Amino acid sequence: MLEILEAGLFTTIQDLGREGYQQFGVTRGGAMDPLALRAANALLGNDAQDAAIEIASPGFIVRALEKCVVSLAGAEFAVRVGERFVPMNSALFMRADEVLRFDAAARGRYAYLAVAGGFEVPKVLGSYATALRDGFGGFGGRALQAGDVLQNQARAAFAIERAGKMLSRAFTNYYTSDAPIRILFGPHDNFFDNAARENFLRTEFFTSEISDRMGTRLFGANIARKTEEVLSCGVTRGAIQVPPDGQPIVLQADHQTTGGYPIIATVIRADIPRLAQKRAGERVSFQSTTMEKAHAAWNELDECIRVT
Amino acid sequence: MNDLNIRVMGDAAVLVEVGETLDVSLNARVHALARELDQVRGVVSIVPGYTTLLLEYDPALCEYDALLQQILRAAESRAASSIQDTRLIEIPVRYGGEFGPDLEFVAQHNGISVEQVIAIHTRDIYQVFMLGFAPGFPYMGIVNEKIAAPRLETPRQRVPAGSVGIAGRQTGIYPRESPGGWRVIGRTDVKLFDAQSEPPTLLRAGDRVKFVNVGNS
Repeated sequence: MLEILEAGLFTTIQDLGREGYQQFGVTRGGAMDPLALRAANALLGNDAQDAAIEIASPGFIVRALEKCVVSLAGAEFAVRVGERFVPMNSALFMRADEVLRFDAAARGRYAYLAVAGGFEVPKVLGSYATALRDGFGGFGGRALQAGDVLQNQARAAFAIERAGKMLSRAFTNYYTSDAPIRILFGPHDNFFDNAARENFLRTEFFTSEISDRMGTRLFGANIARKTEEVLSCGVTRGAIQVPPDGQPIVLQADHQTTGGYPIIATVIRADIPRLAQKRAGERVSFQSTTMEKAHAAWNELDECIRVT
Repeated sequence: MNDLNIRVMGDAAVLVEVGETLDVSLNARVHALARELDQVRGVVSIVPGYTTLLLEYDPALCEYDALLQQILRAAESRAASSIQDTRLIEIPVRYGGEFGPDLEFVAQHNGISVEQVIAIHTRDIYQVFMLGFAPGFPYMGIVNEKIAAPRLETPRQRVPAGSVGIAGRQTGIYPRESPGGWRVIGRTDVKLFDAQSEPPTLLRAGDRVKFVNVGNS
């Protein structure tokens, strides 16, 4: 059982998102960094689908109302329990009344705090994820606030044996890699000529500070496109829309279910977490890959969340 | 079904295009194809658009090449090219006044009376092309050109829940209060989205809708 003392900004309950409701206009949502959420659950032996707290700003402070085992994964926030610094990407034991505090992050944007057994929040449309814009899911459909108390699932085991577990180096290496973000071109190939595609691959983009849970906005080049809009179609996470101003937007967890901007390319699933963790001003470049390599890269992610 | 294009949208989704123009019968094919593909193993989400279907799939359960074969097979089946019976849902609307601040504009823009706008809007039956923008928001048409109207140049910050609007030759309903640029001609009390219901929306893509004038008092 955890009590939120200070919530910070945009702190929400998330899981791996809602599947199958996009046809009703319901966003998939879920963790901005699904790999880190899976890692936080893996550290505790939880289900991959269990709910965790997504922390997107420093200043998040919680108190354990009883002894518990929690895990931390994702952005490299400076985290203390009492006065003692604790490493990210590990599981730790907290005594009753101990206070855990997030200070500024050295790298990344989103971190996850999970508790052994998962948090007890109701599933709405098959998911624990907070649909913030639409006001449902997670903790009462809203961001967490000071005073909120989060219960463990009734089935939760205390799991003391998980305390001290760490993620392998492969996890941090994944994020610190400066490899380009891999994409598959399409679907709107006929809206972009070869020069536009080459320009897209050649450009070193920067992430904009107005990026949010709906999309990562990039600037650095104007990608030329035909002027007409496409008829709105269903869109998936990672799709790179090019609006009339030519500045690409990569759709992220809370993207709208349909869109009318042409999509030049789509980020492969394996590279979405790395892109989602980029902060304002960080560089992003893209590289074209193949379907086969993209699927192999996805399968290789399992290695990143191996617990030692 | 001829002229089917299957386009890649990343490593776990494909966009199936049945055409490139907004057309009621093309859109009906989208929904027929969606029904055929609903049971394909590994497909986790199907999102209809005007002339497209987005299929999100799990490559661990259904390989890309196998998925393409299944889509082509489904498209060739008789059911996918036949228009099936769809539900007809009536939506009661209070037109004009505080409920429809743009009703006068739509009338003036088209050189007809507000009564004629209401008569035309309630006479035709509309197809739900797709849901999008917000949970439960139906994009419907095709609206008679006599009551077509351009979007607002500057969208409103707050459009009340239930507002019925026109944009170009489409009509839609705002399920909840939100910003919006459609010309609002009336309002309904009907609830279009409820996260606690299954399915969560009153309307589904492919449904037919008829508006009913219930006065504005």
